[in-house]
Amino acid sequence: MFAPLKELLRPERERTIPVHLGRWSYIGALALVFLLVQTATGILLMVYYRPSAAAAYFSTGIIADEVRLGWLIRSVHHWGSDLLILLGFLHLARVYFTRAYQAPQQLNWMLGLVLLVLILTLGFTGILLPWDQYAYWYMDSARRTISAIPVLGNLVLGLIWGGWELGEEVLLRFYAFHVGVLPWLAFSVLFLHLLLVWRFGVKAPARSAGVATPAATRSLPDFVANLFMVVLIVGGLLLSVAVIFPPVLLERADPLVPLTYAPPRWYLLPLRESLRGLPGVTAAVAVVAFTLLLFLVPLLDRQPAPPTWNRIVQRALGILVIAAWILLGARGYLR
Amino acid sequence: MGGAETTRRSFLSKLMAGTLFAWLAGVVVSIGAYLFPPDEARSALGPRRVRLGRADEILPGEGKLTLVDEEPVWVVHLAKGFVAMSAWCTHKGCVIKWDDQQRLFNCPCHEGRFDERGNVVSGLPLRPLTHFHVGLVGGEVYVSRAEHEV
Repeated sequence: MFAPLKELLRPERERTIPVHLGRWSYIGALALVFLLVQTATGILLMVYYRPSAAAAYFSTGIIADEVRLGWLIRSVHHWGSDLLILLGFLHLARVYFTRAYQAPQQLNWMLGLVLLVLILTLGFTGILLPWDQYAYWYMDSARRTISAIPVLGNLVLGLIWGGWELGEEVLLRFYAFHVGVLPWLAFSVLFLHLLLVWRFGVKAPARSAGVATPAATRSLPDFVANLFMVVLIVGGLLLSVAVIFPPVLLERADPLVPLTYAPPRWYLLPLRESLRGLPGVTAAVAVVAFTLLLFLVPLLDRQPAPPTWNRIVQRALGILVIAAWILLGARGYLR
Repeated sequence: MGGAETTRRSFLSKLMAGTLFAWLAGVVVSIGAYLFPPDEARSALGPRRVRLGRADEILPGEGKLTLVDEEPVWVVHLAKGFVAMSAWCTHKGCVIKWDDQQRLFNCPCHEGRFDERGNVVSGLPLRPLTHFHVGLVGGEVYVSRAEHEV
């Protein structure tokens, strides 16, 4: 009965993975697993969640207080989004510092960036759905930040917000994007992303002449078994955080009672700081230029074994961006 | 115990398979528990219909008491069909009774009276009874709230 399946997996048993990848190479696979966890918990939440201004808050309360283990599913989905975004950033950093974006994976670097933007947008659109005071007033402040960006801001607001005032139509749009548009886009890009990894393999870093290429490890069962253990450990951590710190549901959204402190989620803090710290046009240009630059990394660094100074510049730039990102985030957090 | 046959590899394989199974079982049981809603969740999830019984079991002129979302409701078979209204008196909330001889709803607390359409006939109540939606589906009588309440 399983003969065709075995036949299908036979080449996979012979597939090898370069041993140099080490622990960091599990991050991408781990992100994939937790994207599936997000999908599963998201679908479960859809069973009870009702996307309307009258019922969204109420149904979130039902999930948190009445449905058996509803609080846990909601908590795992909440912390899982943070974990997924963190893994996305770490995966990006790993690929950057190992220069795995070089040929033949240039396109895959770009697909990965698109995927990261999609996951960030998924996190962003999910914030509004509980329709509590934080959801409302955070989105209100985000709207003001975005509207300050000329041209680009209005484009984003028109596309995602649909209007200017936060209300049921905005909630429905966010819901539609969160469950009906972004997941499909993310999975389509992910499919291509994985297809390219599967077809071309994981890029081995360039080595100087004379250094032997290290041996390869088997994909099945070694890589999968290791991944399984990492998933158990990280999944256990996620579950612990979800149990100890279930997300708070504040009062129902009230447009006449402002919430004085509604900071963005950690992953949006640096972006908010950049947008607020710079005048409108400069901010728009800076965000677009930085994104473009990130996309063009594989085209700017093409030499397989670059001179040492080139490698130093590449690493320094990476560290500089990460440091700036963390500092901006810290500044936003302390504001 | 067959210790001679248990190698480190087979022990670790069993341990791994056992862990995987335990995780899967935990996930499946949790999802199962989540998908069966408790009554607290169910009663709050929108309007639902309550089955009263076969239409021919309630003779013309007769009334039958039922519960819709914990509110007592009278369903009365009139010449023109079925009507349904709350059994809570609009004066102090006592449960009224249907008198099929007089064709009136009587409140036992302060002698309030309502006609078969729920209008006040006499006594202290000022407002008519709250109406419910009643319908026939496949020969069965069903009742639900007249208005969609969240």
